[in-house]
Amino acid sequence: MSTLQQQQPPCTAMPPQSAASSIGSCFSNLDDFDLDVQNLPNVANCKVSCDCCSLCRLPEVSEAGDISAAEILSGNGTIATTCGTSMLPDLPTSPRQESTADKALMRGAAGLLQKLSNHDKPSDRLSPVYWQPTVNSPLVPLSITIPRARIGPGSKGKALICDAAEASALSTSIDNTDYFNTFLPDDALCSIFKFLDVKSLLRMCECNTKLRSAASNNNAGWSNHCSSLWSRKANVCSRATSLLAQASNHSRSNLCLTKNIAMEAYKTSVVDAATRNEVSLEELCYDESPFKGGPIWSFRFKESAGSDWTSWDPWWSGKQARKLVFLRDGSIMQLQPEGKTAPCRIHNGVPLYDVFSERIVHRDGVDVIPPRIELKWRFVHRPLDLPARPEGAYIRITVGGRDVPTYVVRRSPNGNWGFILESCWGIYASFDLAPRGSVSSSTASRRRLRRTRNGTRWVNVDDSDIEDPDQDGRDHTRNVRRRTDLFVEESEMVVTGHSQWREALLYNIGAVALPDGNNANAEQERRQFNLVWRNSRMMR
Amino acid sequence: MNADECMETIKLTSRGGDSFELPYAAARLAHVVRDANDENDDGDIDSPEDVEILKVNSPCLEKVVEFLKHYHEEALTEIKTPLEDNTFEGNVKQEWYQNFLKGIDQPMLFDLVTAANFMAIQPLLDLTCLKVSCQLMGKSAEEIRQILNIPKLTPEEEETARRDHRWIFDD
Repeated sequence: MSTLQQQQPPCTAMPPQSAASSIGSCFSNLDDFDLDVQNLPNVANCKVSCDCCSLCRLPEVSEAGDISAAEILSGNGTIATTCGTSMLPDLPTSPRQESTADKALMRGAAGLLQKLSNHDKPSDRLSPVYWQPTVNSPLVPLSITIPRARIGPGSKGKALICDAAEASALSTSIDNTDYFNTFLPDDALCSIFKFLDVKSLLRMCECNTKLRSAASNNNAGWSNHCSSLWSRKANVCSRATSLLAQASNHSRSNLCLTKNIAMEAYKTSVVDAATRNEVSLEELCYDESPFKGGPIWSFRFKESAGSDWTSWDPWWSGKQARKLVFLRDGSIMQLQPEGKTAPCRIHNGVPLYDVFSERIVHRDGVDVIPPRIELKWRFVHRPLDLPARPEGAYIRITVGGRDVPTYVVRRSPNGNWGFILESCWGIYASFDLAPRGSVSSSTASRRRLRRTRNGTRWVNVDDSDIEDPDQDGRDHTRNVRRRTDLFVEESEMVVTGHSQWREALLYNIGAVALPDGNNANAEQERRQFNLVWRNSRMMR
Repeated sequence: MNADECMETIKLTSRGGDSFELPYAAARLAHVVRDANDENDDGDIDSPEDVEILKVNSPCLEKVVEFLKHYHEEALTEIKTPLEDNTFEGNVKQEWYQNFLKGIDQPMLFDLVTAANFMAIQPLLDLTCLKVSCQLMGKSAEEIRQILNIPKLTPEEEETARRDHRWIFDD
């Protein structure tokens, strides 16, 4: 048989009869409790989380001015805890995490029971009432008497159970602010967070769960961050833009699913730009959509392509780089060429021209329009001397029916998320190329050197081999050019004749098609190279 | 009569029972006042009535009324995002509004945020939230916990949060 004990365990099991008289007989002053002792059922039958009696129901806490609040606080501040739990609840690690004041109250009260023995002052001691069904059962806290002085003034009329030591610890801060009083609702937090930069927002997510929830919300300014970031980028993946569109159009019915979607869009765009170096059809082709134009690529030759090509490249003449577009049918065409030429086709109202169609060749003192040079493109999976990568990493371009060294796809090194297609002889960029002559500070101080013919010295690239030209009237320089501005971003080019020497060699000896192996290994590469080499030699 | 031109005064009563008088035309910046007085879509109103703001204590409501009165005379310039500056003074150029929040302690600042949020006074909400955000900008998680006086995540929760957001801090 349980009994009710005050301050000292143990008790015996409660007989199956009205508990009211049993409880009442154990307490000297029923006014110490707010229990509705007249309506208590059989306490032994109370279960965890049931709603059968005032012992099980959580006490209601209301704002000042509310009648129920006045009733609770009018006495000596006694608060009932729930019964039926077989164990004392765990001490709350963060009372503030409770969403309602009454839950905080209950947990705070239960936690305080474990601290009772720590107080020396009798005035600080609490007077709990325990129930123990059997001798060996854990104690079940039924209620505690809390001296009125131990109940804090509360925030906005809410009652608080303040353990003196706990309250002191909780209020420790730079400005001794009581966080119970300054706990802001989520929408107010979002109003604060919309002014923060991205890294500060993510720092909020590391603070606690409530701030994490608020800082991840769409209303915390993530849409603005997306717009601001993406306005400075040449390419943003379509998945991120569609996520942001969802954030703008979310309905109330799926609010739970879309409330963090703007942040997800931001993250998706950043991660995609950092990890994906292959271009999709949508990001490559101009005519992916019949209703609008797609990406336009700036193209120029590298110096290594030779003067035969650079001499009529507009970029090398100080003009804007050629604007080329890739089409889904595998062709490459040009936008807005200089000079007189007729468009070959129209896409979405925009005329498209053959590449290089504006060039004019002097022949026998007459300007003639040279034959049309058709450019085609296709994806390849593994060119010579390069590792296998997913589709979209390598593009093979055919010029006038002959494969030229592969264009390797990568992200632009200037951090604008754009794509670069680079070979040893040419470069395409999905953004406007800096005009020739805009030398960056990193390259302005560099010198371009070459070895003299006899290999004994290094000289400036456009200086003479002869140390003192006046001593010998003949100019032995292999290649004399006027000093030109340095190739813009040259230090950031990674594909050179050295890395593509086999493809460049095959082209130069007349190969029509360059090898491509889907899963080529070194042996297969060597056989393919030898085959093309032999065929090219035979054709010559 | 048109609410904007209404110079009749009304009283806003705080939780503590203190009343603060101000012109209705100034008070209507707060949507809670507008809703309590049942303005129609054209902004017309018959006769404005006093409003009880039971969620706001007296010191805070006094500051709110001070803001409403001044805003009626000199509107706060919209605060644009992204911010041009990391400081409060760098983003709020109007001297009165800079001084409005000077010298108030953290509890009052948070009370003003809550009051502005509850009363739906967007300019005051923007101003006070900007002040708080400038305090938080660039701070570490531990410093933010100290400013807001909030407890830590568990080590496991903190590690999860850092792992989830490594994509930005690895830049």
